[in-house]
Amino acid sequence: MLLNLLMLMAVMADDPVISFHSTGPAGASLVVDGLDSALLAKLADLEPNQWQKLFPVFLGDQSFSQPSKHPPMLGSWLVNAQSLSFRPRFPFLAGRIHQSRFDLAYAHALAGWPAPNQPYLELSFTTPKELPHELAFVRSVYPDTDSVPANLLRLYLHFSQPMQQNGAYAGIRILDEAGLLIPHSFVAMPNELWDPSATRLTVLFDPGRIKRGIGPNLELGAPLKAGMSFTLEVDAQRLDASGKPMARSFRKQFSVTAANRSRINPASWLLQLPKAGNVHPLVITFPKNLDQVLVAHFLRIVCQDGEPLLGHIKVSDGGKVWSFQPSNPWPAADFDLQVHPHLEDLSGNRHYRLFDEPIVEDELQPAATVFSRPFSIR
Amino acid sequence: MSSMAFGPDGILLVGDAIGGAVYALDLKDRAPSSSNKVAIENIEAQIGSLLGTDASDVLVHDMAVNPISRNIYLTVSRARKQWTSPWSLPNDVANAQVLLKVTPAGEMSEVSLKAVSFSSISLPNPIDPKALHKWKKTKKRVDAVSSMAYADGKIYVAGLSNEEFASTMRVIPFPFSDSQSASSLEIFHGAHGKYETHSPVSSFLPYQIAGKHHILAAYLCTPLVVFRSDQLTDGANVKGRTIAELGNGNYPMDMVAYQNKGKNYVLVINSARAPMRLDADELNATKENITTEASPGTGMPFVHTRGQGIQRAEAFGDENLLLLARGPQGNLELSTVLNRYF
Repeated sequence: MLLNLLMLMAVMADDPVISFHSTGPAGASLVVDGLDSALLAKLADLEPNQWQKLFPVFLGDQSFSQPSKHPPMLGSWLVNAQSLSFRPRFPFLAGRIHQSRFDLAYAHALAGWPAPNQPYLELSFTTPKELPHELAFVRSVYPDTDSVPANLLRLYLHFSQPMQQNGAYAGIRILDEAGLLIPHSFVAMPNELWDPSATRLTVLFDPGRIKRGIGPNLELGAPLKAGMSFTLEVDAQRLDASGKPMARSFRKQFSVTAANRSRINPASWLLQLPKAGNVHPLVITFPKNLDQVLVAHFLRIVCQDGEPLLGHIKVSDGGKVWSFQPSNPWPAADFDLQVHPHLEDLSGNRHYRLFDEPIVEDELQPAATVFSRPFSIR
Repeated sequence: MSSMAFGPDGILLVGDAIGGAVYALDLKDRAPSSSNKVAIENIEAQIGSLLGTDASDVLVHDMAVNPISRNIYLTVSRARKQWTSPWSLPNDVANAQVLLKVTPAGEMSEVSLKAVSFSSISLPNPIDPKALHKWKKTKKRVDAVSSMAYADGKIYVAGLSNEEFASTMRVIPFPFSDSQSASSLEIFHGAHGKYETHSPVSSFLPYQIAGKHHILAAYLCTPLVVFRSDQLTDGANVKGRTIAELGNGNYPMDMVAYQNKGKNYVLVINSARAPMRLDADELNATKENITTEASPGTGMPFVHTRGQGIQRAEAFGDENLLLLARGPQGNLELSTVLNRYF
């Protein structure tokens, strides 16, 4: 009577089962659930050739009734407390039928257990057809503002995924209020300027047109004039790194303010200083927008020993606000805010020179130095 | 894993063009075998099963035979669907992803590189990773190691360097030490009618010619050239002697030395021409030195042999060649054939 009850309980317990988990192109796996955890513990340290016998997986529709003449798929097998899984070395082919078998009898034999009632678990599965490739789009443009100076030097386009790197800013243009192309606005370059992740493109306005007194500026004038508005347009035909066009084109309208011809003046910046002992950020609000990419790199806080202070930099408000949050509470100490000479505003002006500073003969050129702005935290 | 060769004592030498290094792997594969027969009908189907793909997408990059154990090593990837040009070699299409071992009986397994004992040496000055081949539009960097061979305590590595004369032969004493040499190679290309220094050696063998140690080398399109090994000193610009023009439109894929009825031969395996047998006596005697434009068949004589669709050939013991060849059904076959048939 007791034996019958035990056998009934065994039948009613969760039967082990293989299932296919599709978690995206790189993460598909096969999972065996419902195995006794004591059995799983015995399978923790198997050799690859034992796994290949225990849990083989094959591409195709062959039956397991005949021994396979081919070796099973390379992959990795993982045992945890509740289940075990197989992840193939190379992605499963999409939209194809596969066969898998878990040799429960062999598992029992490896564990030194008596043979199970059901010697095998089998799963024939068809992998999903290729996930539609997500198309790229322009996430944002720096400067992240609605207005820009007439002598704007750079725009940064942020794409949602790596893009193909063309020449000559193909498919990128600016249009005037009438919707007409403003021609020859960007620098003619054979290679575009991309960051290493191939998601950020630097679009450079033609300095020859922006700098006063230079040929193109005299002939064509500057591309942007104070008081106008223009639209930046990026064609959907630009291709991403996998060769597909973008999801949609991108348009953003900017209004144009007067040209900015003053140097960056770190001495005049207002620093909002936190108190010692906390991790509140130090905040600087600049009198005019600085280049959002450059200001994230070219401003830093250095301790008295010369080491840079560790912390997190945030740039916001289109490059008007820079904040630094230390990793550890501020000590009561003296610090130095260091401005790298290559920090620029939206028009390419630096702290030691304007973008289009006339070169006067016999005058010493200003030195490109680090600007040092000491401050104290108390 | 661009190129493979066996060193002494069952050590597998692997050239890595992308990383610019040569690795010597001790796979502890030294149990001697005198197996004389290999017959695997559709090796791409077997490899495909391991890689989880169809035979039609299996790409075999290189093959080497352990002379002690007679186990066969293959570098493979899932990329044959991308091999669409007759001017591409497997390494132009993809990087090899997996190293496999096949026993003569046909058992195939992966060689895990996780716990392998190895030594390595960097190759100074490999060609720039960004350099593109002029008309193939493939990365020249894959030919930083185009071919390798081991003889008498030295590893010979042919490939492209960043020097002005890119075609380079490096000589690396093995076991690795601090020293290695690199010489630039210049050859007269008969079919093109000019001297060249930019094309890498496609296939070569260290070979004794007229009692002296030489490098017998073949290039794309297809000059056959000899270099004197004693001239391969560091920094030297070595001029080869072009002894035959094997024909245009063709890659020399592999070279293997063998004996047939006691005579020595070298078999050149081609991508787009029948295999060509070179007679060692002719190699010793030839005074050929091609320095003007030459049509196929100029220079030292050779004999076309049997063998269709052969991609790789290695010696398998003293009496057999091991051939990787595509048969009439389109299946890639790995099988031994007696030397006497070549």
